[in-house]
Amino acid sequence: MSETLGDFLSERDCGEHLLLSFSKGSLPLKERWRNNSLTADFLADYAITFFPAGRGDDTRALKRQREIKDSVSYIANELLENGLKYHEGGAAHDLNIRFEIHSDRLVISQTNVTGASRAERLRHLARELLEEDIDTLFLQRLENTDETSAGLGLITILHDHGAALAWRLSPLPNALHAVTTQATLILNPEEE
Amino acid sequence: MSDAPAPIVGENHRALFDPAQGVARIEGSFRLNGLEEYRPLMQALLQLCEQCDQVTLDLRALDFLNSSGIAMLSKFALEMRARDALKLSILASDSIPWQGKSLKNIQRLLPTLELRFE
Repeated sequence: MSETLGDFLSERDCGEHLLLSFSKGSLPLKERWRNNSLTADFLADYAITFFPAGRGDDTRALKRQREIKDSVSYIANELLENGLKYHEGGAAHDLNIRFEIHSDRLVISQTNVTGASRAERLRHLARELLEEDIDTLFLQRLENTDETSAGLGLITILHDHGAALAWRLSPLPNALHAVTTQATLILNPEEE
Repeated sequence: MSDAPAPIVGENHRALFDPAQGVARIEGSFRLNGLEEYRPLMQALLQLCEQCDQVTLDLRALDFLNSSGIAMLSKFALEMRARDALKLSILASDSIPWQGKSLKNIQRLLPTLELRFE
């Protein structure tokens, strides 16, 4: 039985979407790291196809395009960095990232496999992010950067990019969990 | 004057230091893995601060900075807050959306920071 934290949107009826799946394979994390940016930039470039800037002098549309690209690239990169860092599934489980494009929102969902203790830490972090005041949490994290910056990445997604976060944890054999972190970015058509 | 900190150059990023002008130009996409990998950049910035009374971080060509990089910038700002004799400025770009959002947070940590957008 899966458990969800936050307002998790199911994959059904998702319309336009893209799904990329990665095997962890034999390369060490350090050597795979650059692929996060390739994937994040690819998703960001892919997204703007659906939000054309029109004529060259349409500065408002161009600005909106730049903002969408900037946020998609940041969010996808952070989710992939976390996914790679905490993936414990070995060769039997892939990591994946799913990108849904709607006229009013973009949804980026990243799934990886973790053990029980990471799943528990994630539940704790998720509750903190869903229940506490984000601005206060954010300043606390910035003041205490000696701690892991993983929490900071998610808080920046909420605080600076205005996305909502939700999680789904699904049990797998051998005390593993498939963990999906989902970021939903609401698009404002009136954006100046 | 002591030597300038050595440039930091990667596949998609670079940082160049000019102690004569008190400027660090940080450019491209910085997506290093964790604070540990940002340590050389942090050390270079602190070295520049030893050499100058006034330091400007020129980020106008910094297209992307991951959360570990934001953590490093915060740590650097806190370090500057502790040394209130040194004046820190950041030159930012209006046309790079994350800068408008995330650099203002750095200013909250260091209210004396001069943040200029062009």
